[in-house]
Amino acid sequence: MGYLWNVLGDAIAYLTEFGPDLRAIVVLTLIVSILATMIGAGLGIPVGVWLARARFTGRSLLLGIVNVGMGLPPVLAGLFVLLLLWGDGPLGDLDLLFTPAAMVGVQTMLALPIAIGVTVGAVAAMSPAATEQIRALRLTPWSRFTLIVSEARVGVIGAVAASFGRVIAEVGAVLIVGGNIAGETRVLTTAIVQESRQARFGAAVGLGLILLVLSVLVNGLLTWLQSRGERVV
Amino acid sequence: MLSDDFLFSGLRFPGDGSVISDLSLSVGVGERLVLFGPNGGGKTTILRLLAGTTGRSAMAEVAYLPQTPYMFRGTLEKNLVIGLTNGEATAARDLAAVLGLGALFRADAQRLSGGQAQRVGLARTLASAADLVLLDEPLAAINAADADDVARLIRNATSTRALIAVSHRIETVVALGDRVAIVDGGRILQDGPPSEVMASPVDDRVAAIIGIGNVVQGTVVVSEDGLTELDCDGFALFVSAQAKPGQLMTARFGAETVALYASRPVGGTQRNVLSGNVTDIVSRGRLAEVIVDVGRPIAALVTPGALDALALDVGHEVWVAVKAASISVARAD
Repeated sequence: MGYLWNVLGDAIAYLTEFGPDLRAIVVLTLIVSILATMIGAGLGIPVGVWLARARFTGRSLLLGIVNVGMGLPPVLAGLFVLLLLWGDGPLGDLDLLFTPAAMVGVQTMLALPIAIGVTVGAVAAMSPAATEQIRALRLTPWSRFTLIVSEARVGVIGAVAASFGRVIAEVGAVLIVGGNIAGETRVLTTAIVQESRQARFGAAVGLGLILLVLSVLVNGLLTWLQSRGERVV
Repeated sequence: MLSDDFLFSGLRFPGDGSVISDLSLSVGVGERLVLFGPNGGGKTTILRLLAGTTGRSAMAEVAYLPQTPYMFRGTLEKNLVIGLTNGEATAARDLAAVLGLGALFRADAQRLSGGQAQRVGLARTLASAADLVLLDEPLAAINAADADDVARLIRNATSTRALIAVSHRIETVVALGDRVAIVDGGRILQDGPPSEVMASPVDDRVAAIIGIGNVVQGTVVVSEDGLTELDCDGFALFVSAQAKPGQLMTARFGAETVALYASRPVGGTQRNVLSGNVTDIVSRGRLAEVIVDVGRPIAALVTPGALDALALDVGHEVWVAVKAASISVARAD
């Protein structure tokens, strides 16, 4: 037990020295995660609403692809983006490999199917009376969309939370396309891997505590929004 | 005869060999049609097909009130005007005020009672400028005391449009319908004015659904102490109601409540005693329906034994007696 207490002591010491390097890691983590969640949910929620209500041939196939996407191994997504952005790859000329933009791209790929899938579930679970009433009203596409999101808000906020959860905890894909370059593409998860491999457990645990606090804060905010949404019902 | 301003054909659900296949339906502007029948007979599905909330998209621009009006998050007023133009929203507020919701505009819509929610849905649907109005069980959640007024409001709001309503209650058919279509098993079994369909159902199935009975319209001549005399274009009918002279009323009484006598009955409790000739006798299962022309046809249900005892036949003169208390009335203006 003494050993673990020592690690925790080192972790606290590491955190008290909160310097520019660590700040850069935290800021980049937040920027990449929030951007990827916003883009993924921003696209995924409208697509999810549409997919939950539309009836067309090929819909089941599309739902199947979304479900596979929800469980897509991040390293595979990372490998795919790596091949795309590699010098000789189709998007090699963009020179985006090992940049935060590439990390946002791969994280968005991981967040999108989750945002779609959870939204489809939330909209499909709306009461038949609400669904029928929405169909019965003459609404513009935009007001119909906002009405549906407002009615399915608890599930839709869940879609945002699940997307953010996947993105902030992700390590494999960002490591591959970001490269964990200090001061450029290093985020909390890749930094933890780095410190662990070098047996600097105090630093690794310190970074882990920050990750935990960020995750708790963001999910706490989303849960609070969810419970506010529920109370009216 | 009204024109078929809205003609729908080939309605089907949910595909081949389904509940509804190749059903046709028409309604004219200024006409009110009530689809009547037992639960599960397909009435609501027909309405949803017309509204486009199931199957293909809507076949005309319609205003549609679903069976259970759903209240979205927000105030009553937000729900009242949702999907309406500014002009329609003003009309909806006026209608809602008439329906007694004036003080509740700021209320949380999701805490409204079923009856209040139905009034919100009604006001919103009737305020729409669409030429075809579709109402699913519009009076179901309205308490009996207000049903008459709400029915009048619906009739007035749809007088220059076409209305198709759905109901499984005969009171709603009489209160709203110029025409009734008996729906069961996904088919229209009979279609006509309620008085005609009730007095002359085409078969036992229709008779069992709507009940054999009489629907008569009349103008109030005098109303005193709860007894009202109606002038029914050729004969007087006494009903148990309080009304203003000059008011148009619809009276309904079941054929089983009509008693027949070979000679004028005396000393009875019936307020309505009329004489006429038997014009038709139709077998209705174990009973017989006797049609007597008292200035208009009145249907009476009797047992075969009673038919024999009176030796009734077509052309014979009989006396018809109906208690005022057996007659339900509703305003028809």
